Amino acid sequence: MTLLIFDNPEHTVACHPRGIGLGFFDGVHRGHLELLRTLVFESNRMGIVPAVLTFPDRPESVLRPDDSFNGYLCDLEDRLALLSDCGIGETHLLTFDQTFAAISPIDFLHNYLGKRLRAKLVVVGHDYRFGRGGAGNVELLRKWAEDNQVRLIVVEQVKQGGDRISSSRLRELIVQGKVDEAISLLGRPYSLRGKVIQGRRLGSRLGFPTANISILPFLACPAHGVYATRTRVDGRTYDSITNVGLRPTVDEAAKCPLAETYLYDTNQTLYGRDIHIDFLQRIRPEMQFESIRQLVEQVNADLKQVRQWHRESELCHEKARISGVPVYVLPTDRFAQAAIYFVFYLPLKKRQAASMALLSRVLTSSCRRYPSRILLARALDGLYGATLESNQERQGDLQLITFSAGALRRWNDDSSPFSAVCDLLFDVLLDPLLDEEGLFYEDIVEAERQNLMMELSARENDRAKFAFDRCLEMFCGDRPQGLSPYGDLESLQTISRQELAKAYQTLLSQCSASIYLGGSIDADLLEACLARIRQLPVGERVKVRPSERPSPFDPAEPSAGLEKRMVEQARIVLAYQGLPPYFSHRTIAATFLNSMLGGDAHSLLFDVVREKMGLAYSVFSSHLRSLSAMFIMAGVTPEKVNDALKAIQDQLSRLTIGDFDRSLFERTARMIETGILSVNDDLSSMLAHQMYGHLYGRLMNRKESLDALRSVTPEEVSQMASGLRLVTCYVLTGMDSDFDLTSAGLFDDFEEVNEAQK
Amino acid sequence: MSRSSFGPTTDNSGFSRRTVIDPLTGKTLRILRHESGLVIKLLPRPGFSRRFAAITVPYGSIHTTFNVGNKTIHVPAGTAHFLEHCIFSRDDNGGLLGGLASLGASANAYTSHTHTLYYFTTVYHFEQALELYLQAIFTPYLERDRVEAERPVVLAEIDQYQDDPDSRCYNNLLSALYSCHPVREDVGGTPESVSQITDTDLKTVWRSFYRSDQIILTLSGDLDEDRLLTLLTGILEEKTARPSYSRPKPIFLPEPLLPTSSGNSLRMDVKTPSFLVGFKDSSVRPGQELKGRRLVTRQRGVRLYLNSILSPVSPLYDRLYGSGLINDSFGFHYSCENNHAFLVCGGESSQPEQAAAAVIEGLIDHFSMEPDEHLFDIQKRAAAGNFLRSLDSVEHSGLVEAQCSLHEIDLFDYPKIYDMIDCATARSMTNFLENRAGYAASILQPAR
Repeated sequence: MTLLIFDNPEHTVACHPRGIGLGFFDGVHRGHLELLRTLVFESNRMGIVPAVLTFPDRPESVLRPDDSFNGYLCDLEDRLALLSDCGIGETHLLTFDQTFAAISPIDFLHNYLGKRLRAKLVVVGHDYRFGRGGAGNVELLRKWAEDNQVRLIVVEQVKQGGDRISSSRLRELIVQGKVDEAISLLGRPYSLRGKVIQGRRLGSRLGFPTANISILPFLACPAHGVYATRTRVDGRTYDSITNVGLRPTVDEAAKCPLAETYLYDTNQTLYGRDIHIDFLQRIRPEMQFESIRQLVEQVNADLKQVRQWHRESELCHEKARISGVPVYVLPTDRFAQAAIYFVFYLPLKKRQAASMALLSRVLTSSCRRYPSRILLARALDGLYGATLESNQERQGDLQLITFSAGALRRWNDDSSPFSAVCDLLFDVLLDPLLDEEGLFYEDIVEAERQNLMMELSARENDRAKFAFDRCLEMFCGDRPQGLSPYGDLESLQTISRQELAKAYQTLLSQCSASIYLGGSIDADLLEACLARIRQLPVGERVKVRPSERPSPFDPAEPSAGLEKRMVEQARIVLAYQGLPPYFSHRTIAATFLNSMLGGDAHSLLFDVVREKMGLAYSVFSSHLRSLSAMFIMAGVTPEKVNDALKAIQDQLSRLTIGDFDRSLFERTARMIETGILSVNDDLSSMLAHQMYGHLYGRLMNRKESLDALRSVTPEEVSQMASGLRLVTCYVLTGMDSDFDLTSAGLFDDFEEVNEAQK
Repeated sequence: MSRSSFGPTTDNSGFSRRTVIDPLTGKTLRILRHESGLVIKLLPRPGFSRRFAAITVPYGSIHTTFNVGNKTIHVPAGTAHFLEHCIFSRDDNGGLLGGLASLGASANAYTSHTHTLYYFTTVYHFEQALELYLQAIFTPYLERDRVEAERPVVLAEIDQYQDDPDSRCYNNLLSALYSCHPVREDVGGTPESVSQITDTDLKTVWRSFYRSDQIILTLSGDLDEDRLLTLLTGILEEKTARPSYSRPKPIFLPEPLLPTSSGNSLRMDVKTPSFLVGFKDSSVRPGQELKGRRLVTRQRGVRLYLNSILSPVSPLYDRLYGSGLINDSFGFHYSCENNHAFLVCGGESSQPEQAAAAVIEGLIDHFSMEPDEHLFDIQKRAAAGNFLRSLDSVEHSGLVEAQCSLHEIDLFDYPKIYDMIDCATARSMTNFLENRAGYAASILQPAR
């Protein structure tokens, strides 16, 4: 990210168009993220640079210096780093002083946004004020934008727990010690950073060696007391217990609060090193003890409580980062099994997708230790039925390649099948079977090629998948979002072993990579995994972050397709565009809409089209989040295609105008709630929740998800439904069917569709 | 474990109770029997959110002819499946599915050759959902209007399976293996048979088989046993007196020992050919039935042995895969029920006839060689691990327990059964595959 300071004559502002986000962004919380990601997403769509115009210090310090203030949520350095993490290309820093405060709203827009920054897009919060006396508001900005051909996006407020997320609300929570609630607003724990200072070593003498950092006076200080924390140092994260306060028992004269943290699972000298302390849960307030003995007793009790809290909270977190590869651990003792996921992302390209799909098959078929499929399969069964597999998936214009392994954490002879299968997974990835030229063996490649090609061809045998694929292809046109994550048959047929070797290098050194470990993961196992991860080649990896990748997507022109094959049952697939971007807090309303319309047996389509009208056996909808799209699919008898199309469209229209029973809304809410609560019952669901949460930038815990669900209103669902636009209709029907797309009343309003069909 | 091991006395609420503890995991199973005959199995899983209930009815698609008292009744093929659909009867309030959905419960059911299983999962309102479900089972609405409303949906489902190559290939194989046994018919029946099913058929079947002394209720999750029993006592007293008439007796004609034909092929509008090889295991047939632990021991023993000769650990699989005759889709299933047993294996292949022939030759050849005991032991380890892993899931363990109930064993009997099976025993159970005449094949080719 480029940092440009307004008054610095050396900082020349390049003459390119920009998308500008306006705000102070203290703490870069979830409300800010909605704005910033919208800015990056839409700027990328428009091909302009996403930039932020902000101030080093909060305007209130100039406008109302006497107002009480609980301290910043982060310093400028951290704020800039957080903006950069969001994908902001330029940050323009402007000193907010009395002179600037006196500028009129229109001058601000004209001189700063227009002339200097060449704004083509402006993104602000709904309550944004600017210019002298705060006279400028969204309405004025809207008018100026219209007059100057600037696109304006006003981001709705983001709520959590019924109230708007704001920096001031966050500061209040932190100074009250409600750091657990702050996590829900920030989207990450509140954190203090600093260099570990030399103390009086009292903690060491008492058996609790702590790393101490000063809490800077301008930062929000958590209420004094003891906290369950995690401490990050040199790319590693450790569970810790932290005391914030003046330490009245041992230092009666202390004036400045310290954060003293004890990393109880590691024995390291931290003096002089930079650490981050993440605050997770307050355990108790600060207390004064009459004796050191009492203090030690209390610390022991605190420690026991914190250890238990860490053990039971099942919070997935980044445990280490090695050469840019994050390693997340989800600790839980509830399952007999444990699992590891190795996730790679790369841009979806036709030939590359085929190479990667074939490579995944070749890698999981053998390794140097087990140089054939059969030996590898026997090794896995010998580990009490351990599993090791790869999977390809498409998320917008990204190809996801997952290598996963799972096994029992312990067997009753005290062996660990899971440790062994982790080792095997790393062997498969890092120590493959190669010939003297460094190529995969020809017989293995050919066997896997044939296997994969047959599997790909067989996808057509499944009518539902075939119809979906056809509709998706039409919906996406020539965009990569429509490509198969397994590649195409033509490419698969011609991929050489040299190409495969290159793909292997790309996979290990250039793909974005992350690792998830779930289950009862002890320190030895973690260290063993980290040692293997360090063997990954170091390289410039593809950056995948919400709002940048998956990329913005615009579907192809509206079109309709009819295909006749030897089928008993016709298949209808309708593709709609118009749902919010995958990272938006409004996706919960899209989830709601999808569930209400065609989510399951409780839905409108099931209830009316199948049960009441008897038009279809299967009818459902699906929310394709990374495409902001919804697909409706139905299997109907060929004579009833017209009726079914009309019935489906009618149900959607009913949602649009709010013509639905309150009971439908309520049972949908319950079904989604059940889904949310069910995630934690299954280890693979828990890990998938983390993985997709990171990908979409919407990682929420159970409480946050339920809060978001409860905030959805029927009106919001109707509004979401009315934003849907039919883009593609695909019908697969029998050879002797007389169905004709032009005769389907569905398309009367869609001139483009009829055009396209001609 | 036999159901006769219940204590002779019942408590005030009308239940007799027993607890089984799995020595391997320490997990418990509570088994209760109501005086109406209904058996309830509880798998407590504290710390989990979801709660699961399954209702097992020992009535499946093969039970088309049966005696009740001295009367012989015949119903069209597909009746069991049609009845399953109708149990989910809808009304203006959405019926059972609507009622369960409004409680946040996700419900489903399936019909197999031998049984029908109804189940649901929920987090909240478990007791209310259970009450609704039991009401639907014990007092279904099976009048003509309901039957006629459901018929098009059932027919649409049959149409859907007609387009499914795997399903067509499978049905084709079973009709080659069996000549009289109703297992040769599709579970859903045919469009013709479904058109003939009447409300009277459904009521007759319901009255005969959906009885409290035949149905088994399996519950798993974080359960409050006392609350559940209070609820069940109320429902059972109201709905289910123990039937006074004797249990229905399904009737099956004698089945020839060998397949009707060595197989046949069919053509569909598909891109990839596929094949299935089947073997009719005539050691289990009408007149030579298996049940209970003996049945499960055979089922598990043969499956374990087949794992060592047909799964990716086997030389046969490796050879077929290496030669390109099969791919990852290759799989096998040994079905062993009370009066029929058969093996089905196959998958996609660009040369389906050659693949089928190679599988048959490979299986026959296998029995001319010494068994690989080490490989068999590996399969036992894998089975033990899979069993333990399956207990991690509330639904899965509940579902498996519900299926176990059909054979009068419990989930925790599996490790003991596996322990008892050695390589020689399993091989002797499986050596029916030596007989070339017992095979049939079904080949699916793309339409010309």
